[in-house]
Amino acid sequence: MRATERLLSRRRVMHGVLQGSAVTLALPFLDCFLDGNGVALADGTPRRVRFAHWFFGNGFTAGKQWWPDKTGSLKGVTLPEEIAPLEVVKDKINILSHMNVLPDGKPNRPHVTGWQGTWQGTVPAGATVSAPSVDTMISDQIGGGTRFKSLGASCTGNPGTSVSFLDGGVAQSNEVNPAAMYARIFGADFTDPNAANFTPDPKVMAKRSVISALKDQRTAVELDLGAADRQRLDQYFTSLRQLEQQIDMQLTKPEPLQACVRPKDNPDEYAVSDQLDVTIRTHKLMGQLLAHALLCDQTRSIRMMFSDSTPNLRVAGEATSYHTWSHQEPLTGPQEKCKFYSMQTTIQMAEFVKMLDSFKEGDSTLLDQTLVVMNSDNGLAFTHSLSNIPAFTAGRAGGLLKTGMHLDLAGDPGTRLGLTAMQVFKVPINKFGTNSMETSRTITEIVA
Amino acid sequence: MRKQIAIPAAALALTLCAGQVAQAESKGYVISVWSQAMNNVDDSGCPEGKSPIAHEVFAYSMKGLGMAQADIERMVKSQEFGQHYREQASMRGRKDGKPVFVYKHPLSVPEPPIKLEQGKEGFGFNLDGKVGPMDYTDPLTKEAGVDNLAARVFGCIDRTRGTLDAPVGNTQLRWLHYIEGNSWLLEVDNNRDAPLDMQNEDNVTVTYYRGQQSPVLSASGFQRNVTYTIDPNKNLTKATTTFKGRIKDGVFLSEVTPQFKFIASTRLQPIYDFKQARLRLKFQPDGGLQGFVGGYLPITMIYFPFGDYAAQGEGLGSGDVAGIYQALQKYADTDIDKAKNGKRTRISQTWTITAVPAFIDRPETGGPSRPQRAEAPRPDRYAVR
Amino acid sequence: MRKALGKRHIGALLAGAAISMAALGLGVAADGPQGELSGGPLAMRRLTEDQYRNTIKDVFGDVTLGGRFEPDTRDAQLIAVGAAKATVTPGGLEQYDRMAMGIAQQVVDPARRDEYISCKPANAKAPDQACARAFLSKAGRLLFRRPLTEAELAGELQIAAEGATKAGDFYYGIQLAVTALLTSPNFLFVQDRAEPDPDRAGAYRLTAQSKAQRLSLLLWGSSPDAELLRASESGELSTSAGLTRQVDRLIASPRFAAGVRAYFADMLHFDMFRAVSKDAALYPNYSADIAKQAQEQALRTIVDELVVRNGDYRDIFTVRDTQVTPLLASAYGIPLAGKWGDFQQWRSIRLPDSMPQAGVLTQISFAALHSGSGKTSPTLRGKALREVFLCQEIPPPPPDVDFSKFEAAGPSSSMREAIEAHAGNPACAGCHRLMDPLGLALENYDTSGQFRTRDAGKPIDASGILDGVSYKDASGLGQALHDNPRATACLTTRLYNYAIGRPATNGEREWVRDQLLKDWTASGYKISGLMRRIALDPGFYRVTTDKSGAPAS
Repeated sequence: MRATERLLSRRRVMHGVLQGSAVTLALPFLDCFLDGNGVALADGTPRRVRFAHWFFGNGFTAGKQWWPDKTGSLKGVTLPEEIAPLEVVKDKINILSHMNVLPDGKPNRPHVTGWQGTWQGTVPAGATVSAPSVDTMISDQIGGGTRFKSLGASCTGNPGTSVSFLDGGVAQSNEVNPAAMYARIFGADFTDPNAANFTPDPKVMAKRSVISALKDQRTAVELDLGAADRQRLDQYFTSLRQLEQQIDMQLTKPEPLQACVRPKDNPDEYAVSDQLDVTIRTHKLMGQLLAHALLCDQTRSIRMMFSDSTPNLRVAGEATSYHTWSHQEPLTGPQEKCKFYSMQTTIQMAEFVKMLDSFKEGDSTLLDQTLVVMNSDNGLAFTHSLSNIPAFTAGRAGGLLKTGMHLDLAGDPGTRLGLTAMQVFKVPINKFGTNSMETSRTITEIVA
Repeated sequence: MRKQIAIPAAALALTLCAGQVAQAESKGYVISVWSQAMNNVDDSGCPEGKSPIAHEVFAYSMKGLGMAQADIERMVKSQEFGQHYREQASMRGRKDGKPVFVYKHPLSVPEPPIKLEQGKEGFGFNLDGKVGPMDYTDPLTKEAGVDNLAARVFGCIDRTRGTLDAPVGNTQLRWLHYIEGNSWLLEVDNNRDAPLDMQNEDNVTVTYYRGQQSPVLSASGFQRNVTYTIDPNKNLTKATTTFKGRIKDGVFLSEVTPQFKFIASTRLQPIYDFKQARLRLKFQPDGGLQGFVGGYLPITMIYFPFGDYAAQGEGLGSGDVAGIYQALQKYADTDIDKAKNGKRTRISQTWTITAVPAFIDRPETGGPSRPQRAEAPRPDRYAVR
Repeated sequence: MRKALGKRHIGALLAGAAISMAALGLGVAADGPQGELSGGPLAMRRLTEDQYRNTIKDVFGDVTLGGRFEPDTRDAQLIAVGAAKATVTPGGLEQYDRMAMGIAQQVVDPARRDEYISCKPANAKAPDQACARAFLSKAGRLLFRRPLTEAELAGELQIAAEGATKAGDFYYGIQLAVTALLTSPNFLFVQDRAEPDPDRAGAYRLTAQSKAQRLSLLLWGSSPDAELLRASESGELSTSAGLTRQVDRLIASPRFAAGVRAYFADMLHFDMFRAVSKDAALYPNYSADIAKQAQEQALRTIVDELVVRNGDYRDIFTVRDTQVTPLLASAYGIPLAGKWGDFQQWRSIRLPDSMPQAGVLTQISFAALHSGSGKTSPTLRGKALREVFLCQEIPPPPPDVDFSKFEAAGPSSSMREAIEAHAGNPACAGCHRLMDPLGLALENYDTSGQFRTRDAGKPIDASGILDGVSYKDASGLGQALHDNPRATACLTTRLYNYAIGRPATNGEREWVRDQLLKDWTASGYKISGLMRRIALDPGFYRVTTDKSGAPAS
């Protein structure tokens, strides 16, 4: 294991930024992240770089080597069995092996500590981390002008499982039902950017007065509050700003977006669950809806929980779930069940990447304009290992990233991935994480 | 003495069956699948191809009426023929030179080209005790001489083909009426003061009742162990609905019953009438049952659901509805109607039944005739652990 | 390292258990000092889903809520306590806004608006400040749980005027103003406010308004009604007699049943049903309808026993009187005929002695909620039994567990055999021996809650021991819980936390342990008695101070 860099300040830089206080930072931005590296697409469409987080639980479970032997370019490399489904997209992804979470002696809470460490940058002594997750810091940076700062879907039917946290460690719940997701994005409040006519609705106009009245209540309602409660109200008023923005957007004629098409069919209601076939169906429908939301610039940041941390994915008619199998199949055996589920996961991962790549946007594809981070909660689930937690990226974020590589991070903290992702989106930050999870080292190998 | 259990509507005295072992009891079921028993697992039974489907029926019918070939082709090509069924194809019959509604007068057209199913295996019973050239061998019991000529008539029409696992599409459509109508119940009784042994019993009666309530369904199908009340409608008592027989190795097989005639649901089919009927039921580990009832049915009865919805059904692909009637009459095996035209009026047919456990409540006694056992599926039987 | 960690977990747990045993023994409480209830810091809670629903129902009657609630968070085993940490995320506010617009639209619906708005605008196409003021000040007072300030009312009238003008419709203005009330932090957050306590120099107590909302949330699971607000505004609630009169009125009201329901729905973790599904092929009799009705059954059983019959809390573990619908009866295998087309009608039944079920533990809701979708989980069930009914927290599992023992149980083993493999693993055994044996008592109930006698072909052994009391099966465990003093001690603590909407302070805990439990025991464990005892104690409304002498928060 590599020694963690000692840094002069233990102060979490991000926290200051996100509290909204004026923290002046002289940040050494990598030049390549600055504008000028392709401000617009070839057809003149403004570049809109998007972020997607795709989460899967249980890591890889078969106890075999899931990463390729060779590092560097994946050209000509045959992918190991568990990730073989990614073969069809391997020039569009990066494989990151041997990323660790380093708990500094704090307890490893199975299926939780792994994503807290990588995604919130901290292994807590207690149960929760009161810091935002990487996706939130990115969506705060890029989602300001869109209707939804971020949109999240959970494919297993449980709105409570989420690895996305707002400032203060407030969990963001996910939509579980494609019909509800459709209604939220493409329902009555959707303004079609390509509609021939645009007339602001006076009824919506009047609704602005609701927002301003609510804003006016701030001083009185905050009176005598302690710091923690005041912070909770701050979050309310932050949320109110999004609501205000949504109203404003309904009143403003949007720029036409060639690639935007409102999906015709509102998906039917059905009983969502973590039964594998149902989860896959939900994943497909949600993926389509979220992609359309990106194309119509309703959001620039999406979250997809393919499976939960501690995934209870289960084939219909079978009593035992994936998670139970991952603790029951002997590591010494063929591990058929675990392999089955982890390959179902990589199949869907590949489907998601292919799906984003299937949408044309100008002279490139939606995937080209997106950075997808795909990661998990564990290394080997059998032991809830915090070592070698699998991670992938996909897409080139509008030309800011290179793909088609395998990088061995040799036990580095998983926060390096989050830091790199945030820097791609120009989040003003040069360090991320606390204690041994703190890092200032961008994964420069994948930066274009 | 058998214990009579009361379930008064107001103050409920519960009978619970788990744990009551030393008592006489019957078992109730609600029917969840009722369909012609077809065995069309592949196309080998139709070596000469299938019977004509909607657009083909339309094409030759219109041609026979003198419509220009170009017009026929245009309508078929544009998929418009469906709507022309109601207006034109349905009036293709000719009686005394005048157009008649063909579904009401199925003999008013020349014999349509219905192709018979030619497979060797089919479900049912050897009703006449003989083994004839048109008979099947039952794939489950291996009994030879199985009389099920209706399956030969329907076996090469796409819409009426099916298997045990995938019942006939035509039935499924109409089955929706069952879901909204009266439930159908079966009660198995061993007629003695001892618990019902689902493996072996010598003196068993199986009785059909019409339930007062609609069947209860959930997302996963028919709800089990629901309580249904026998419909007290007096007309229902005119029906003959009891089979006698024995249970051997978990299978009930009835003796020949001169008539099994039950009043069904008005919207689905008013009446089912089997002559020389036999019933076979296999009790399943999950507490349900699967079985067959066979006998000779009036061809008019079999024809009813086709004729009833014919214009729409034929347009949707039921096959040549008039042709179905003509074929049923051609191959009918019993009951010559001497008074009318000297043709046979009944054809052998087998129906398949699937049922799930239910409680049967008798309004006249305020409860079921006997304590009934709740049956739960046993997941560990299916679980792959 | 693994060993050490395991030991530490167990040690902490057992130490905790030992303390509570000594402290919660009835003898100790009976001889304990007659301490005063100290009160605690101020809390700000977000309305829970139940409180929101109940409030809307009480204020606007039967209206449809068309949105989706952000999942409530749980702290100290209660949503009511988690609410003191909950905030409103952008997605959450979007949903509140959607629901508010929907509710407000129903309020101004031409067919119904006269039920709510008693005045008529002079011109239905234009603003009418007088009529708007009359309605909004009334609705606002019920929703904000206090009269609106002049500034707030002015804001509301501004919205109503702008809406009416822009849309050319007085009622659209009202719709927007109601939406604003329903999305306001003053509605969504219930704030405790303090005032100097006239009886104790330098000390603080809740304001009358805060007192009223604390009372109605406890006793009704909803917001104060106009009468309670009147009592708080008139000063009546600040007198001992006035407080008693209001508390007794609230308990005598039909809404008290809703309050007791709300508490038990929270205590029993019924919100977690949103993530429960069962394999349809293995458990065809379980459905979303059954799940809904199973929760309803448990709450009806409890309300019937504790409110309608004013029974002993402990009897919920053994009661044989319950209510089912004909549909739910099918899931239990109980013959019960439904009238034509109506399988949803609730009927009271008494389970016969021949049935193995007795008490809420053997009902579908408990068995199904704390299970997987394919099979049961004695661990989850045992954990829930300890945490929900005995207030014993189970620490999270240790990392880096060696599962080789677990797998040794083999694929065809029964749940008991598989579970007993935990016992061979020292890192797991400490906690699992607290959870699994207790959970195994419910093995006769499959993951859908249906009774069974065999598992993996083997007869089920549901016997065990709880705190030295042996039982044969789940109903025996119910009896053991009924007789276990920890169960009643647990309820007092939990209900007290529920009442204050935050974890109790040390001082409050002492009072609950030494005084409240004793008084409740003496009164025969009536739930109304327990709530009344809390609500009438002046300490319930006391506010502690921080170092600077200001009210603590």
